[in-house]
Amino acid sequence: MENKSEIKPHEILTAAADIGAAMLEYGAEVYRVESSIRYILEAYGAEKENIEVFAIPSSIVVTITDEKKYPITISRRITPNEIDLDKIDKLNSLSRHICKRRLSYGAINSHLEKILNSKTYPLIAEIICYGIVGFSFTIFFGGNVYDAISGTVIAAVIRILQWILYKLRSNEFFMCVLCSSFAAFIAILSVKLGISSQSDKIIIGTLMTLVPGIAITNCMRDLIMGDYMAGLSRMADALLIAMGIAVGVVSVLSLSKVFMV
Amino acid sequence: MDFFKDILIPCICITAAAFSYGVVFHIKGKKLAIATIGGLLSWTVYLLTGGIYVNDIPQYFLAAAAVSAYSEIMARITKTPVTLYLVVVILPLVPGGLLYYTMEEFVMGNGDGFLDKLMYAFGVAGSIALGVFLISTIARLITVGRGKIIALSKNKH
Repeated sequence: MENKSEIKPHEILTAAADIGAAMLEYGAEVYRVESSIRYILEAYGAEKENIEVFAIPSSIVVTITDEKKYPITISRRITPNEIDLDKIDKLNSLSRHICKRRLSYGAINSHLEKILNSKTYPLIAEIICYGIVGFSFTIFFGGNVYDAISGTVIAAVIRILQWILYKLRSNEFFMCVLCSSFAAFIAILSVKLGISSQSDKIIIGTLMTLVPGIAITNCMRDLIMGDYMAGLSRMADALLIAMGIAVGVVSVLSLSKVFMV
Repeated sequence: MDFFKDILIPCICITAAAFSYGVVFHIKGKKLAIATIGGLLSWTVYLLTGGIYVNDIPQYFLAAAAVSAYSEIMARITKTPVTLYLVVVILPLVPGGLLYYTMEEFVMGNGDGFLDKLMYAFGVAGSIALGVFLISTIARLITVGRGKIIALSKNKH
């Protein structure tokens, strides 16, 4: 590190790792996290060949070496948080801002604090939006209005279920099994009760809310960048979710074939 | 093709779904609008390219390529991560119905139908992934190439 700014090497290392860890927690791809950390360190005068950054979806390790060949390393264990693309966007612009302005350690921390505590959409907005997704996809896949209404209710309840299970720290596979079997069960029940007419359209429409969009997108982008470790672990994530959905739906469908026909 | 049933209503549904999906992932303001338009664009491209081939696998490929180009360009303009748009615009292309009927064939014990549908689902998923892969790689080549050219011209002066 050079003496251009009064910030100490361990401080900038901590700041860079904090920003990277926050990005990874909220669902950024590994490539972006690694390059953000690298850019921040370079902006504060670290030589390119003295920086080592390694990230996978569950961990970050950053090492810099000073002129006296003393290495400093920092590592962070990442526990995935709920996806928040707005925070990733803000963290991304913060890292650009840091590179341009060379903020002090205190300023970086206060910016970071502000971003991490920034307002997100309330739970009720998410529940309503799940309902809209359920409604529109039920219509989209060929259901009528009555099917769509059942779809709306089921999708909204799925979000509430997810919220409860998230608070109970359930694993993602079980969450998907439970949500998808719930969706399939209520859809078949609503047809039996005569509220709606096509259970298949309702199930398809509501299951679209469970599609692991972030895992699929990040998996593809990590594989493109050559981060096979990250890409494959995201792929495992996406496949487990898909398998959970399939297990839930298939078990309810086969039970319904046994009991209701 | 019935205009209302086959074009207008699906497009409205996709727009509403893309918007809500954006909210679920906490995208805000102008970026939410851009992502929603991207979602509509993906289904529009799918519809416009209809009928060029016996099945709709090339349609998925073209739609995926078009919307990932759209997200790459918009991400450069608004200086945001590409993922922000890509997550939402790919969503309308997820073949939910196909996957469901694959499962149904499995439950019914219909082996031939199951394998048939499964192969088709793999084809669709593969063509979407290929579209995204292709455009992202090209975008990366352009970005790196531009960086190199800028660096060269700086060295000369």
